[in-house]
Amino acid sequence: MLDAYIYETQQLLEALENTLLAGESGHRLDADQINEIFRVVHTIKGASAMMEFEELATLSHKLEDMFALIRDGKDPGAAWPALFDTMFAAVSFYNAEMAKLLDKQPPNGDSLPLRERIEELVRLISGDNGEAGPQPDEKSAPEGEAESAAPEAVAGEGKEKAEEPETEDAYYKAVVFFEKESQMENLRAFGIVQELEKMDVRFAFKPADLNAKDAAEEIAQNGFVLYVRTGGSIDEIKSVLDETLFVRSVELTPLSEDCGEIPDELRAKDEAPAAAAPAAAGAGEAAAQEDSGGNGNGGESAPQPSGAADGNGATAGQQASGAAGGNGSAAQSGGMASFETIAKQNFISVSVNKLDSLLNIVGEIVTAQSMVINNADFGDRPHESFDMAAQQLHSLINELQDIVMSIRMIPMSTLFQKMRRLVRDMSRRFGKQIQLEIIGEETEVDKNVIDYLSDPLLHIIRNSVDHGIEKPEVRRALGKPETGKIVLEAKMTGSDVVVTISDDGAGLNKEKILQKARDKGLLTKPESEMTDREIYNLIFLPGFSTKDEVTEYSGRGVGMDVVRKNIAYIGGAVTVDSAPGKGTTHTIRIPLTLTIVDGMKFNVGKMNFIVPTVNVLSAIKPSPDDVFRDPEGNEMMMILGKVYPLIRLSEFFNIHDAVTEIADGMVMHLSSDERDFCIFFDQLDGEYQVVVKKLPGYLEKCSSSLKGIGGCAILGDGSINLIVDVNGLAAEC
Amino acid sequence: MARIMVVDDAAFMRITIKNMLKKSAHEVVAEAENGKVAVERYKQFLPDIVTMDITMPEMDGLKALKEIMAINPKAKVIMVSAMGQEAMVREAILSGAKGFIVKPFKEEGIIAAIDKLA
Repeated sequence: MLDAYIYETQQLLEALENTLLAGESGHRLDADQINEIFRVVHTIKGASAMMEFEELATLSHKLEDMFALIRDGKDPGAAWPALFDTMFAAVSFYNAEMAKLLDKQPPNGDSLPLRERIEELVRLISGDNGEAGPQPDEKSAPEGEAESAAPEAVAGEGKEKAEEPETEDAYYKAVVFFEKESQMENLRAFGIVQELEKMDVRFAFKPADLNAKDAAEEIAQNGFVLYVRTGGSIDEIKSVLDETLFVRSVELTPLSEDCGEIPDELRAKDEAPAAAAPAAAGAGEAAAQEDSGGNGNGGESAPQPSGAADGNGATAGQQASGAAGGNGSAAQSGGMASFETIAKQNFISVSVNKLDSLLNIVGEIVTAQSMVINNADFGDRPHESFDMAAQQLHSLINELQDIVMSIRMIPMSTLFQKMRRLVRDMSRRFGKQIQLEIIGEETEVDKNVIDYLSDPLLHIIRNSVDHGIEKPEVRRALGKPETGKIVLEAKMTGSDVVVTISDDGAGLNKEKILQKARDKGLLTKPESEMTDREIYNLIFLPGFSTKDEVTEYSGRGVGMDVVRKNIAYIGGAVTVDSAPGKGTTHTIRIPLTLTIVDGMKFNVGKMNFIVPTVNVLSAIKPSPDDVFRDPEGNEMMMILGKVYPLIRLSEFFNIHDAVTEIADGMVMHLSSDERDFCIFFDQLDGEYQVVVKKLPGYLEKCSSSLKGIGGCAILGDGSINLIVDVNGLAAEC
Repeated sequence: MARIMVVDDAAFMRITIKNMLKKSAHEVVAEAENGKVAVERYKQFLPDIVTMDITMPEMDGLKALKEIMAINPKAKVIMVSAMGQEAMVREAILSGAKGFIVKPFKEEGIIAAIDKLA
């Protein structure tokens, strides 16, 4: 239950934050956005109150009141910026509380400072002259007075005791008590009044003004007192009362006709039975004043239509009192523990570990399947029906695999939207104007990827805002638009998800980077031989940080190597490109959940390799005429009139028993993200679905010799195959 | 035993109400996340009792109440309200709601309310 609460509240907060961000770019909220926010805070309020999180409920209530005010036509005007700030602060507060709950901590944050800000805003919005602020009080005050006067009058002093009743109607007094915590007792009474009006009875009640500010309280304490005059049986009325929700008890006593307690209007002769009720039910002061005048002429005092207590004014008053009431009423204890034990229903949250094992098992099934289907025991015997069964198994396993994968996939949007808030907060702090453009947020990636990507993204964007984008005046002087731009983009490319973060800021400072690398002894090759790109990518080396000062946002020099580590952990890579004065682009490349791939198997000498099918453009039996060397001595291959670099895998991996004659081997035309190229190998060996395993740790340590290898896979026949890292290989040619 | 439809835009509230009603003799036969869906599902399931949130997207609870009352004038609808919604509760009563329950409420409260109407 608590999980459901946290989950949903977080969703709502996210929606709220996005609405705010969208609104802030226009410096105000439109009617739809206001309604939306109102609804969101209202829902949070309800849920928080159910969970007995008092602070959260109270804060939501304040927010709700404020937005009710705006929704009903008050324009914050100059207060918009403060309103946005306060709302963002509120979102942060809620988020912090949700984080505590996730941590199994009580949500003990103090919302008072926020509430004070909201109150201040409400004062501003409603106009300092008190035009709207005190309105509820002004309105409800007289009503309160009227109400307090009314019951006396209704109760009457029985001055006209002597009057003879015309009919043989019986009089009853009913005192209705509602359940202790039923709340809004005045409206519950109003419901009874509505029911009675449908019946052929005359009645009066006290408190006479059900809209009065303290009517609910009075009813809660003293009960709702009904005086009924009926010609028929009282049972009908009794059953109405009994059937009313949250009625705790009804004390029904017959009154004798001459009882002084009977309100005058019930005795009045000339009225149509139903008319008496509206007179009293009408919330208007008119009725109450007439009554208090004691002339007993109830019939005339009914200028308002039945139940016309639309009570807009009164409602505002009640809202105010509701706020106070709400604060107190939620103060019950011990909600959390019991909620936690209640089973969850509609959705379940599953630990990612379980999903991991599920995925692993699916991987094992794929391998086992291949072991069965390609089992050597079959030999050359025909096995048609087995093949059919095997085919069906294969497609089912494929489906299973797709589902397991899709369970783990979530869109980037959650992650990307978080960046909006970061950019907003930071650009304000640094006095910069920055627009964040988000592209492809619907791109789905594995849940793990999102978790590991979060920190690197934050870090890179912080850098862009802090060091990349210049201040408006600088940008103006440089002839750039004053508002800087950061583009955050995600897209799929075959087997990878590529996330790019580009800004149009100052770009990286090559000299400064080199200087720093020299100082820290990080250079591994002569400066003159380094390309710009290599220089820029020095920033990812451990211990490198060009930051001169530590700011709240830019971290403490842990720097970009953490970015690189995090991304490497999920099998990805990050690179940076920059043009001085034009901006910087970070490119993060992450494999999709690559645990199971379709691959082409081939061999070089006795070594078996698998290359992911997505990278394969074609496989060719080459003619020696198509292969030649460029002036630098690199081997090239001509395919359909175009020339591509050719890598002999036997040379690249240093395999000695492999084919060397072009005519005896085969060529595969591969596409990588950077370029298309060809590899030369011995023989193609069919298409397989394989489960990618990481290379054993002891091999990873000698990573320099593992260029071009992305992992390994065990096939059904037990053979070990190396998986070609096409992008890694491309970098070598 | 009554057949109940729970209408609320917050899944959390729907789950809460459903869980609370588990301990009663009643069965939640349908749920709806806004007024529009509620009206459709009402026609489809004809539940004995509806618990209806007031503030919802698409179509609010008041409008849905009115439409349901138009479909079946004897429909039993309990409004689920919060403090601050007095005006809307009032309108709901005038529109034929059988009663209302105020958030936050307790298990006993909602079960008693439904028991009474069932």
